[in-house]
Amino acid sequence: MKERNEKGFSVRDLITIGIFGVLLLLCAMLTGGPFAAVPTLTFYYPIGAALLAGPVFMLFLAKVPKLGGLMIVGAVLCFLGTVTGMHWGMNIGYLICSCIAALFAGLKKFRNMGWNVLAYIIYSIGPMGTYIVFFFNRESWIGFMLKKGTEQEYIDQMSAVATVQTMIVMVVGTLIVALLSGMLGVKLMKKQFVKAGIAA
Amino acid sequence: MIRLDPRTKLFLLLSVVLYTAFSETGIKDCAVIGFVTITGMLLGEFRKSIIPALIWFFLYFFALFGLPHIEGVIHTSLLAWLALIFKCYPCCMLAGIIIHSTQISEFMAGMAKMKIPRTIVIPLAVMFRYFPVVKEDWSYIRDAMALRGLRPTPLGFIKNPSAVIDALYVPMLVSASKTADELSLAAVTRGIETPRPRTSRLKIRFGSADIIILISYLGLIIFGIMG
Repeated sequence: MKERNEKGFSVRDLITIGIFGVLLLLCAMLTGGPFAAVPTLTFYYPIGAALLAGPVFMLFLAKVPKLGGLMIVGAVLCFLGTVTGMHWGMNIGYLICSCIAALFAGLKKFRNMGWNVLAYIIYSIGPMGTYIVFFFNRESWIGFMLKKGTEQEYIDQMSAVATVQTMIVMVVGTLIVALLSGMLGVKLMKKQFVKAGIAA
Repeated sequence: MIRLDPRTKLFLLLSVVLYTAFSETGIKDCAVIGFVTITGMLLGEFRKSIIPALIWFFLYFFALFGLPHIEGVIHTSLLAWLALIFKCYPCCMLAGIIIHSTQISEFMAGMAKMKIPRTIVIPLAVMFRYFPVVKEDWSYIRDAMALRGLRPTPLGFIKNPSAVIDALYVPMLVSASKTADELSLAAVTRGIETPRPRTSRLKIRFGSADIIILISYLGLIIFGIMG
């Protein structure tokens, strides 16, 4: 079996990327989906999305310890998100954050668990893209729904939607949940996958 | 009924993404939804285009006429939620139509024609193939957990967290790793590593319908961003 193709990835790497990409996506959808669907919780979608995928992410880094591996995951998620009609803020966010995460984890050759957890936290920032775009662009998104009110009412409601507080809760919450999920991943790696010889 | 090239469909999606990125939410969005509905009907996807269009108009009129009568926290949270929905809706609707009307082999052949590198195409192909497998695995994992008296629900998790975590992640990730190995052997056996370009039995080319649709969507973007 020829191990490498033109870009330094074996076919096995590419297929592993595909399969773990599915798992990462499903984990994000499973706990993030309910958040996105409920009006008051919409902004906390990134927190939900970060909850489950930690262990998947850790095992993925162990199986494809190459700089481009995570970047391809980002590119594939970005493409798939575009094709399924997700908002571009999230897609671009995934792409950028995956690349940064790959650089961070790659600094220690994907072997240092602390850096891998940091990479997972960075990766979890990806889905926030949509909300950050929303935050800076509120007027064009909701202006048309408020045309009937007075000037003061308009300003009040505009500042009530997506307050700075909401954004801080979203960012800090995501970072904490991602940290916990990543640490769970490290624990599971040590307890199960290294012993079973799968993390190779 | 018309058939469109998968590349054209991809372009339609990108143009709607661009439109929603650069335009303000408003009455123009209704025109876009109308556009998407017509495209969907031309592709023969009546259910996938008419029902979402009706839902859109319901939400839109609710936002304009029902929402001002609601007060307080519910109003604020609905406002934010609807704003996000309105931004994503045109893309999601078109994506639903396109996914439903495109076969995966057609899509892959289109990707090969666009000369998208194999490092992207192979993972994508595997993903499409693997989604249903995960669903199947999931039901097996649930059965196996039930045998041990565990449940993959929040309540079951609170009762016995570490056992649920182990029983959930270990089989899922082990089967994923095994599948990766098996699939790569199968793929190498079928010659995925050949340096030659991929050939396809499907004939994919641009037709007159593609050109008309492309031009009208180009007009849409310009109208959306300028007007």
